[in-house]
Amino acid sequence: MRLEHVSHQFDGQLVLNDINLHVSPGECIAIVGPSGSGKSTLLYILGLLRKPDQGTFSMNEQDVFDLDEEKRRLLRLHEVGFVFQQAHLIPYLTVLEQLDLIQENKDADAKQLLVKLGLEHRLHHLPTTLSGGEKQRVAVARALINSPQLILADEPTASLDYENGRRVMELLSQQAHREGRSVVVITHDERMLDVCDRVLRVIDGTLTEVNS
Amino acid sequence: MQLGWKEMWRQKRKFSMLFVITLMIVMLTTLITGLADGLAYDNGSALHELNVSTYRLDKDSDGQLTRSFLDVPTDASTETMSVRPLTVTIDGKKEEVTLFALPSGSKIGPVEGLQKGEVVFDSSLSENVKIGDTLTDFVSAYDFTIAGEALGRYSHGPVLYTTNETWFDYLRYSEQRPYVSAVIGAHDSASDTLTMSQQEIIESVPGYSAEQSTFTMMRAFLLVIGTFILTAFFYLFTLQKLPELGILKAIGLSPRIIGQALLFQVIVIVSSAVAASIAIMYIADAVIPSSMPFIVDIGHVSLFGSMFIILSILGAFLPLWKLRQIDAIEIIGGKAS
Repeated sequence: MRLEHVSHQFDGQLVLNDINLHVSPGECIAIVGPSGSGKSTLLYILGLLRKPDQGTFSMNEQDVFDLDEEKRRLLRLHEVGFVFQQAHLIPYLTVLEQLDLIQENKDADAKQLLVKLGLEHRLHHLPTTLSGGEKQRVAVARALINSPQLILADEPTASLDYENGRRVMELLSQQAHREGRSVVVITHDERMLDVCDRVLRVIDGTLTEVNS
Repeated sequence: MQLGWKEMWRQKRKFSMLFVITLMIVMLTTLITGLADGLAYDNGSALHELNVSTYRLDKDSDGQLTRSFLDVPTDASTETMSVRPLTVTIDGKKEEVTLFALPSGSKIGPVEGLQKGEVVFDSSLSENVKIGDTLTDFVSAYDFTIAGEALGRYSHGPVLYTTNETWFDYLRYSEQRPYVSAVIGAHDSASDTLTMSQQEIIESVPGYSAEQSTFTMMRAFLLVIGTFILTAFFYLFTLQKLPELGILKAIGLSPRIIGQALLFQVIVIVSSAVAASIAIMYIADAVIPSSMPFIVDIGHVSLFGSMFIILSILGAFLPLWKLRQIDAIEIIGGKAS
């Protein structure tokens, strides 16, 4: 997954300035930076939700913004997994049904995935009966169910206490290290950075590496 | 569709409320339809029951049998009928009736076997009238003898059926010029006559069109109001669900799945409300007193029910449009950075 010379403006202001980023399979990177620095815009571009004004974004050597809207939607569904700050689960679907709804390959074992995430006792529960940490783990499971190449997480621990947040971050990091996926996490919580391979900082639209 | 069904099943309170509101609106429409059909029947059931397809009337009659005065045909094979409002007295009490005089030898109406001076009456005339009683025309003092009973109402009043023989005898007795109201079953129209179908004759009954157009307008308004209410509810439900729907859109779920769920819910709720209101109509028909004109015409009710379903589906396009407009980024939590 590669971003090259990506720039983007919003309301006449340059929010991303000549960004270059390469994330390899099996790599987990964290992006940090102050509010308004351009982190989320970067994530929306990586998630194919926003087309940059300049530059290219390629997955498997293909520029994804050359694709039409429907193909980008399918790419999001199959190759990109999202985890957001809030779980935003469908209130009238059980944990298992949340995954069934977006599961493309019906042979994949949603139950097994939920067991891996420690949710075996919650398969048939509605979101209203889950704790915040459990909801976020369901959101992680939803992001993983179609075995995407790329997992994007936007402050996934923001609404969780330290222990639950740590568990979610470790889950994401395992996806990179054990399953060979590319994981990009935006976070404000510096205590969570050690689970990632690299930390990048966005300041005034530019990206700099903090450590390796 | 499973998504739509699961939402309805697990959020029963919300959807039950919507169902009840929809049912009340549909019921109002179907009950008014039953009342309109009942009044329509009450206004012209005597004509409905006649086995006549074509009527030839006086050109200046405006299609009203009571205003039509034709010379008596010289050809004895020409079938005629006559209609006239009368005031009759029964045991000294006056009642308004409409006399229907029909050819005695045909099977056009319930007059077979009647002798001169005999009539068949509609039971709504009076509960106290029985076969063998005498009704007296208040103006001419001509006596009609009750010989039978048959359903028949004209312009919301009871009908007396008799034969043409009695009709001409009545005119002779009251010293009036012989005439007939219509030549029936005749297709060759003369220049001074007006040929009309049975439906046209019914629609020309005094008050019929005004009454029916009022009900039609009421039903049309109810359909429009009902559609607006239902659309507003589904629109509000969609707004409530925007965060979840926005996330699904961001994830890449096809908007078609969400749209199908919404359409499924609209169809299920409105169709069940229509079915339930039809069942309630049959119950109402059984309990409503017979003096109240109310008829379940399943064809008519189904037509209005279908229109309601179609309009509701069209109304569902507003929330569907809102679904398409969802900006996933805005929902996720930010406009730019």
